[in-house]
Amino acid sequence: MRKLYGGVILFASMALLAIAVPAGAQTTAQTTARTAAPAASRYEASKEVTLQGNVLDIVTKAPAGKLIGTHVIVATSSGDVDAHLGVYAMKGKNALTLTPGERVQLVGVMTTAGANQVFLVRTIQAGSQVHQIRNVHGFLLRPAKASKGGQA
Amino acid sequence: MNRKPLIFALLVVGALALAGCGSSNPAIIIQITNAPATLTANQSVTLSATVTNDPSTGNVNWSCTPSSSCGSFSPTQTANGGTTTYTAPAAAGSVTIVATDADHTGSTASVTISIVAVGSNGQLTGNYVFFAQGTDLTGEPYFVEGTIVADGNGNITSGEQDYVDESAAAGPDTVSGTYSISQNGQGSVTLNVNDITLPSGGTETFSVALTSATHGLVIEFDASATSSGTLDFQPTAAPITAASIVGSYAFAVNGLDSSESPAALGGVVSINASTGSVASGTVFVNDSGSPQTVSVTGSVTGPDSFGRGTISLSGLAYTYYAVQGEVLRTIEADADFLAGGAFYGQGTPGTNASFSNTSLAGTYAFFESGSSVNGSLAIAGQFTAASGNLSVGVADTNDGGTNEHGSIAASPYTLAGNGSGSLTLPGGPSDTEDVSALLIFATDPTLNLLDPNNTTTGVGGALILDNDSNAVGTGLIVPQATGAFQGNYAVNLQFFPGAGGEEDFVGQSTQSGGSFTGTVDLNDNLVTASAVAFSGSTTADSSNVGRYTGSFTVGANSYHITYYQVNSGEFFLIDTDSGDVGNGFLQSQ
Repeated sequence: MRKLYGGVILFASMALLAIAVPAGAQTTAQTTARTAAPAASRYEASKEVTLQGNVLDIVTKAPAGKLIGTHVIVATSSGDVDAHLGVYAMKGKNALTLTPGERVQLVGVMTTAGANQVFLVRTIQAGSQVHQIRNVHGFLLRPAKASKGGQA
Repeated sequence: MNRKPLIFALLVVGALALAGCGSSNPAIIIQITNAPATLTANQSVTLSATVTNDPSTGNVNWSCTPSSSCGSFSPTQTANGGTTTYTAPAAAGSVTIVATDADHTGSTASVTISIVAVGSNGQLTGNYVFFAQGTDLTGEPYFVEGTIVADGNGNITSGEQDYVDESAAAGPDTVSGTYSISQNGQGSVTLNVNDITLPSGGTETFSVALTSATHGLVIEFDASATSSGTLDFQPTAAPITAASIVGSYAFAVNGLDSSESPAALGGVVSINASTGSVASGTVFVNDSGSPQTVSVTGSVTGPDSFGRGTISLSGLAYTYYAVQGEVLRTIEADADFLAGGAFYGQGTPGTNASFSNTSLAGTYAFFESGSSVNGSLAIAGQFTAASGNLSVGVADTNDGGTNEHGSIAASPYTLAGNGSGSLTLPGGPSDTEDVSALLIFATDPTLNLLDPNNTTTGVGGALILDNDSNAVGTGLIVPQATGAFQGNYAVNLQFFPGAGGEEDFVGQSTQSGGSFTGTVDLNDNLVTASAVAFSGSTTADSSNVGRYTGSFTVGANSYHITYYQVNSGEFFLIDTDSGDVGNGFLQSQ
């Protein structure tokens, strides 16, 4: 099998191409869709906060009404926080491991999912290891990258 | 006796006669189009005949042989270029379809169609394109596509495939193998792939539920991967050539970017495989909530003998397998993205269709699958479209296990002349959650997006690219015709990776009185189980005709399911449990 993702990132050059193409060469009226206005982003880096606390519980199978995936209940100075790690964080060869009582630092955004408040975790630091759970737009990362420490 | 004057006269008469034939009475030519090589017993197909050089009406009378057992036509006479619905007989055999000029009965055209019984190895005869996407044993998303040649007797005599996951890409690899189809259309295909480096080690098994001799739903059914996809007949009577792949195409693919974050791409491109060029196009990219719009040019190769070719769009690399000239199953594998989906023609090959807001008119069903900031995402629904506005709409959304059922009212849409446009859903709690800003790409109004070889029902529609900051995905919009449904259905459901990994099942069921019973083959995170008992229930939503709620039971597991009827033979399914996210299809047999 051929290896993927081994080369130059071409998409940056594509973006440049989009800018560099002469206006006359584009068929803007006929070929460009009118982009719909997206709903307000629920995950914005500008709204990220950092929380520190101790792990109270690790819930690997979320109860009904909660987001699918692992939840960590963290006791912070402001109260208990339901932190969502998704389905990949505790998988893979460098999977995140947590124990009750362990001190953690979370970076993410507090939001509402269904009827529940939940903290969408982008990074979690346990000890000296920083695990990236989501990308900067809030989307969960697959295990191969999510399990790499120090990638935040 | 001097014979020269007579000979000269005969020559003149002959010459005049020939000249007369050539100038005022050219031969009448009749051409039958859209005739498949194989049909299942009782299956219907739309046929058309065009007549040229007929100074009269050009009407066509339809008949077939053997006359007592060759099926039926409705209507039996069509105008020049008009269509008739041919329904195959109940018994297997060979029939000859004859189109006769109604005003010149000596002018005919004919095609021969093989009628195969429902549920037999003979149902798979000829070339078939398969496509599936799911999760392999590396835990990574993967895509597999290819063409297999089935001999009607249980043998895959030849073929080739491409296989891509996050780590590597393989193909084209030659394939051979075996298959078995039972009486109810369920079966198995085992492929021996000439590549031992594949996660499967070179042996792939697929479970199949055929809906006809030309279409089926599939899952990979082994310990190396689980996935869901399709199997479609690739007509070879008129081979797919580079000239078949010319015109404007809409496309949409869904997958990951190089940082393993969700990404989806789509757009409209002008492809000419005859010249090898992609003259123009616009690609929209939603890379984990970051939308981009890119003008592209590129190149395209014509299909090989199995319908495989490649398309390059300014560095984006696609491998396709052509079901027909207008339907290209595709995998994108390049330095930036790993994704799968399809290109669909927007009009007759060689043409560039023209669209407007009125191109969407009437009632439609839709679905989308992908990812949001909450996790996996599925949505299905229905709406009425007219003059740039959606109304009387309803949708069910499963957003990372958060389920919503809400209405879609007075939502706008646009559709430009090239078929590229946008559609806005409410987006928000109690509505459609993270799904709001959709880009849409219209397809050929005569093309069936769910079953390309079936042109009798459900034709037309558009592709969806979710362009939200909170959600990424792709889907379909297809015309909806609600009403009674009964009989046998193939069923497929794909549960996206959750705490327990991905799960897929495919099988066959009989529906009566709103209840389904049957069996399915289940691949639960690479643990397979055959002939698992399956049952389902439906309760009509009295407020939203076409929407049904109910449940599936597969072995010991039960799932809440919402059904959106596409037509009497097709349903979109969405799993509305809090512990799973999934969607799938019911398609009549």
